Amino acid sequence: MDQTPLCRRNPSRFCRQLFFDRLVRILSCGSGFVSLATLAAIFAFLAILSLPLFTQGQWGQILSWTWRPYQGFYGILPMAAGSLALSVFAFALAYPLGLGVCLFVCSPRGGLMRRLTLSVVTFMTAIPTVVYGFVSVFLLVPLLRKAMGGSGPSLLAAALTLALLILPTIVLFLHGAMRDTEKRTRLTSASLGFSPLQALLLVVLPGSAAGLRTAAIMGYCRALSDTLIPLMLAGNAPQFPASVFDSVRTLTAHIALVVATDNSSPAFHSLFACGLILFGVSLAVQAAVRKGPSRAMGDRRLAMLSFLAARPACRVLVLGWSAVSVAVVLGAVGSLLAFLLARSLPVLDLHLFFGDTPVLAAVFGREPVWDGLFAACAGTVALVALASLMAIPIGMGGGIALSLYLRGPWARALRFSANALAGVPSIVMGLFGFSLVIFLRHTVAPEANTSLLLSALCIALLVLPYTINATAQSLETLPEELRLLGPSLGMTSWQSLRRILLPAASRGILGGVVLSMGRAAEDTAVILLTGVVAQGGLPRGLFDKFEALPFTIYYLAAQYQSEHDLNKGFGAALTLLVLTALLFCIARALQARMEKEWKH
Amino acid sequence: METLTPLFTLRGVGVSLGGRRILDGIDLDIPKGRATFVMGRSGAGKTTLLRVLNRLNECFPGSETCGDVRLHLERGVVRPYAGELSLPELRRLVGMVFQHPNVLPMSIGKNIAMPLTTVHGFGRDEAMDAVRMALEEAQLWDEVRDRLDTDARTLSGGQQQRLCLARTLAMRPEVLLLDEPASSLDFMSAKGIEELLESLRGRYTLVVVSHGLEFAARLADDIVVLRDGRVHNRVRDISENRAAWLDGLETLF
Repeated sequence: MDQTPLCRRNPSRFCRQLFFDRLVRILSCGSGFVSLATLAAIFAFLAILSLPLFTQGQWGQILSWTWRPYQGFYGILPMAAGSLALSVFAFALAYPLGLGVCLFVCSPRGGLMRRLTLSVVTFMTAIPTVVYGFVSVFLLVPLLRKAMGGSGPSLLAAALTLALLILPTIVLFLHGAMRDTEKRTRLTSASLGFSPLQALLLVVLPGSAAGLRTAAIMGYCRALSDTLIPLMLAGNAPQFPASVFDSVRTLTAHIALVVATDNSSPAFHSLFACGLILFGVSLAVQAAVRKGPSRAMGDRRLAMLSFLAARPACRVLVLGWSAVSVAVVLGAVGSLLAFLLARSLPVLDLHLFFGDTPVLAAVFGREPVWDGLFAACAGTVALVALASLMAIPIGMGGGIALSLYLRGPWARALRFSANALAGVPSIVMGLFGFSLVIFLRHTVAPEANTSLLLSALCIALLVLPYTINATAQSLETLPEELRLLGPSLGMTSWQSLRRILLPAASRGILGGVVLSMGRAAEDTAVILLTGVVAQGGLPRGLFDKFEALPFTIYYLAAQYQSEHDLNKGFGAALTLLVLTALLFCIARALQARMEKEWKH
Repeated sequence: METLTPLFTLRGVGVSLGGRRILDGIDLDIPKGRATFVMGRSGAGKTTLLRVLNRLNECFPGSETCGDVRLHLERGVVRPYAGELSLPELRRLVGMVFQHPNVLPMSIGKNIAMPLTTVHGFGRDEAMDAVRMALEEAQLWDEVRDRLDTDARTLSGGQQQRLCLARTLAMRPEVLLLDEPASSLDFMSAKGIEELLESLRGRYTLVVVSHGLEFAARLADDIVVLRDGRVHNRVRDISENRAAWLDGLETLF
């Protein structure tokens, strides 16, 4: 038999492989550092632009309880209190509900109902924030007004909606962790004679302590960083909330409301202080919880769980709670969707999209559409495509670098930056884009203005960590022998990645891509500050203003003047929902195809 | 006694993983064309020693290898750890089969063909020939010839392990590292694997981690016994008196 090593027969091919491998390594590590650089840039811009507050000694003015910009009072404390109250309230509502739903979804009983619940919760991630807000404005607020009196928009209305918004984040993180633990420990618990519920409470929950924590961080950060829900539902009065029926203004909503004013007064600089506070808090939350003392669950909580599991009455309580949670969540989502469909389906026609312009002429851009949603749809599609084009390759590269190439302090720095970036509120990202324009105007490009490209860039940075984390996590959860197989066969790390690891991890990675594209399509806070307009027609280029569906919805919810405007709002809400749902399905289908291709 | 050409020479090799010392001061010659068995109790560092030879320890964060490893090839002596041989090239020369059969979730044929097309750039027909040859060498051809397109995970454990062996053989390595290749299998499958290894003996340099004394006594040329990360005992040329060693092996530990 010919025993010449095959790799020596074709040295040029081999050199090419090695070169390519090195190239991939450099590229992925490079893209990994994008998140690090972004984090540094955000901090730098916010710090520099809030610097005048330090130098001119206006801190005292900022840290007060009064916001009356026309009389020279620029206190932001009421907004800070509003943010804290709203996020804690919403989180306190959502986390127990999420835990209940997750216990139901993970329990082995109720096959069909379980799958349905899980699909509904997964689908909830595809519902845009602005749609939650829009429906709540026209469904929840009148209900609350009828039941409790008052003006309607309030801390309570915002918290209820926000709780529903962050619930899928919590449930999906929890479920991911618990499902893995459950699979690993199923037989052990069964052989120890645990009932399914006991196994869930005594083995699966404690075994998923890290997942419980991650779910909590992610959920809370989402609540703290949301802009649209408080902006649409909390009333926005700059005051300290005395009761849940009071109107509040959060820091995020504050930034969105004030950004349009002139850009030299302390009101303007105080915005960057708000941004800095939000940035600092999100960073601190990430750092504090990740540095938790131990990964395992504490004895006290374990004791509580065994107490629950051992007593029949408590077991009924747990089961009852999980049933109630499922009913509440399904009921809320069901009524939300039913209301939206009932209001939007009757008004949905071509006229709603194209106004009086002929359809073909509008689609090919020959005639402008003045009274329709077409321009907004086109703007959103362009935005998502551009942002994905930037975020997906860089995010995947970063995730690959994180799990395969980087070690030690660099890996820790990148991991931290990705997590911190995930926690950065989208309004802060918008503020970053806005300050980028200010920076450009004062330096190299006096003509710089907010535009489609800027929005896409900021949105790409916003969704980058989702892709990074999903890629890294999926690669790291692969079994050890699978990770060693490629190298042991003499594959370069890129070959092993391409042929073995990426296909095996495709599910998880595409999950991250789904999440990020959905986020890109629905985000309103970023584009609010970086170039979206209510009436602009089709985007004519990368440097042009544009319309977008989520902004149209937000705008119409507040500014509608006729029944027709309102109908347009509902139509836009449904359209955006269909768009994000479609993205969701396409990604799922892609995922299935990739898996199939890999198998045969 | 004839002097044997060594394939690997290890001098003062130590490995630590995440600050924990796994191997320490290993001096070892692995002769070419012979079967070297690495034995010892669990945690003695057998698998780590095996992975020193194809530098697979480096796939784990925080691993450090020190000492001198030389690989004697026809073109001369190279030191893999000094960068004189690239990682992929080293690992193509030094094939490995793991403890648990780790077939890829694809068809039987693809399991062997994919690494060949990827690593060596084989065309379709060339790859199919190699698949057939490898499967014949692993004595699996007759069992799977009609279902090369079915998912490899439908095979039995023993068949899967032979498929993994075939996958490694198809790469034409000089050395085969076998990490307890039969320990996760039932008695009959394990016997099949052991018989298969006997048939490979002499054609490849084998380095085998194994717990089976009887198996070692039957197949090994040399035996290395590790204890606490060091070479505790070393027997050469047991083939000269196998029957005697079958009883004497226990005393080595």
